[in-house]
Amino acid sequence: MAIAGAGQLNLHESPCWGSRSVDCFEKLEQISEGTYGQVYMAREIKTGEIVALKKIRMDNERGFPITAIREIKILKKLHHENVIKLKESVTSQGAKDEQGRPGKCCPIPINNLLLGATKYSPAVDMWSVGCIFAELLHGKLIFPGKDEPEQLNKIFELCGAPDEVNWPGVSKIPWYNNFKPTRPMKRRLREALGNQEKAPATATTRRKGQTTEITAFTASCRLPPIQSGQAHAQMRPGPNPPLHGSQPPVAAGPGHHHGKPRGPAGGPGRYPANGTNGGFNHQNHGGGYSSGPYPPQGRGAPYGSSGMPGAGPRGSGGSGYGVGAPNYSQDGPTEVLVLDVALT
Amino acid sequence: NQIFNKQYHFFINDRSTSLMGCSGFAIQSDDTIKEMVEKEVEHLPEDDYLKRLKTGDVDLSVRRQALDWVWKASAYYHFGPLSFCLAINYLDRFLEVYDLPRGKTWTVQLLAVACLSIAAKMEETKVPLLVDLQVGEPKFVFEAKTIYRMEVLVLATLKWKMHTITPCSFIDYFLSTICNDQYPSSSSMSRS
Repeated sequence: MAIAGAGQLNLHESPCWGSRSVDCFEKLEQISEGTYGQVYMAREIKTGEIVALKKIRMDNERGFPITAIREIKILKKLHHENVIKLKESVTSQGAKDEQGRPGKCCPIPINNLLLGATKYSPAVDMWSVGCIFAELLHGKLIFPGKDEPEQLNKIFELCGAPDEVNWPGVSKIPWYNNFKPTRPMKRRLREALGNQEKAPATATTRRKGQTTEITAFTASCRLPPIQSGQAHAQMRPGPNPPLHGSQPPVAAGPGHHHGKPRGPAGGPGRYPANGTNGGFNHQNHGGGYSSGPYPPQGRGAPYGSSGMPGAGPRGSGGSGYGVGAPNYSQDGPTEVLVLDVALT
Repeated sequence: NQIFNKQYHFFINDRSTSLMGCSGFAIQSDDTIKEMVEKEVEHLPEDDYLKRLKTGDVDLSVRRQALDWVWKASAYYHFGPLSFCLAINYLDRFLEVYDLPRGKTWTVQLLAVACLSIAAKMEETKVPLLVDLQVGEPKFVFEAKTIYRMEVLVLATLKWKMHTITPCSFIDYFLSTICNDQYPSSSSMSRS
């Protein structure tokens, strides 16, 4: 078998490497940070234009984040003065460009995937819609936690803590004991959001009546479950979900040959049982992006048999195998940035 | 209730047509279709690609293997037809412009996995982990980090234009035309 010459897939040599490099921008300051990654204010070096730069984190087990793919997909479809415009996607190491136009800034947080939730479902969307309504009414973030545990705690504080009464079966969920609040928390959604006379809700929202919106919020604003028997929690409606009542508990996925239970994204110790912080138990603030060793896959057909230096599928970027080889950094996730919005 | 019903209806429409770049079946007029046909060309490999496949410039059997695997994995996970079409579209568009090293079939397998992964992330509600995606005992299995890099390479090479017109985009139009403008149910595409 012929061995691919070094740089055979060299991205620099490809005329089709479609993204510009993030080096075209100069980061000025970090604006915010979420589970998805960080957002920076940045300046395009060539034009001096000020933009927002959203750095997307790789998911260790899922690769390019589905939330980013969906965000790009949706933003490309949306054309409205109040919706941020996706100007360009850039990579940390690339060439060539594709340029759009900047738009006005009005960031609305869409993703609310907590607990390392990785399964996207209608329930997640409903949750997000509820959160957005609530934020419109409230005029600010409703769960401004700086990390997942803190955010979860904010959810408990507002929506009430889950117990057997409001969520039958919750105590049987394996991680429940790690997550449950150390003190009782009552649902106080209506108190908090029911009388938002001064809230800068949109005119449309107000005209159509707040009640509908609040109800929608209330209905969808149920706790994301701590997934039973699964590594990744998934948000879905609680005991009386309005739209997805028939949705079965989170499937463990088609249990094929890999057949071993997967630990949480950040390893089993991600949410340990000890220690209290913000009302419930956690220690790790990492948010699930730690890069633990990769589990062996047990089907090593090509490994070590190809004779290509670093060229096998398991190789971590040797010179002969191009994907990410010459141009990417050799370790750590390749940083991908999506340029979101002009801060004008 | 009215509001919600309306909304719900909209969502159904939107989901089925989500990659068409236009909104709703109801306004899938001849003009819309014309626009879609024009737009589709932007998301297709050039004619030249077909020639290259025929002449062996691009290895046809390798492509077939990739296609085969994508089909199997899609069926295994019950992905919708749209995901499959998207994955193949990405695969062909990538092969058209990117010369993968000859004789290294694993690169094509890696490409197939990355394309299906992106397609599933575009369309599916439940997307398996990258290692789990590699079903059907393929000859090569890749770790997530590697697939991720390939995903990024595919995304960038296709200039992040993943919002592709596929054959699926036209099915409802033709069905409704055939059925004397009786609007077919939204599941027609999945049945077809």
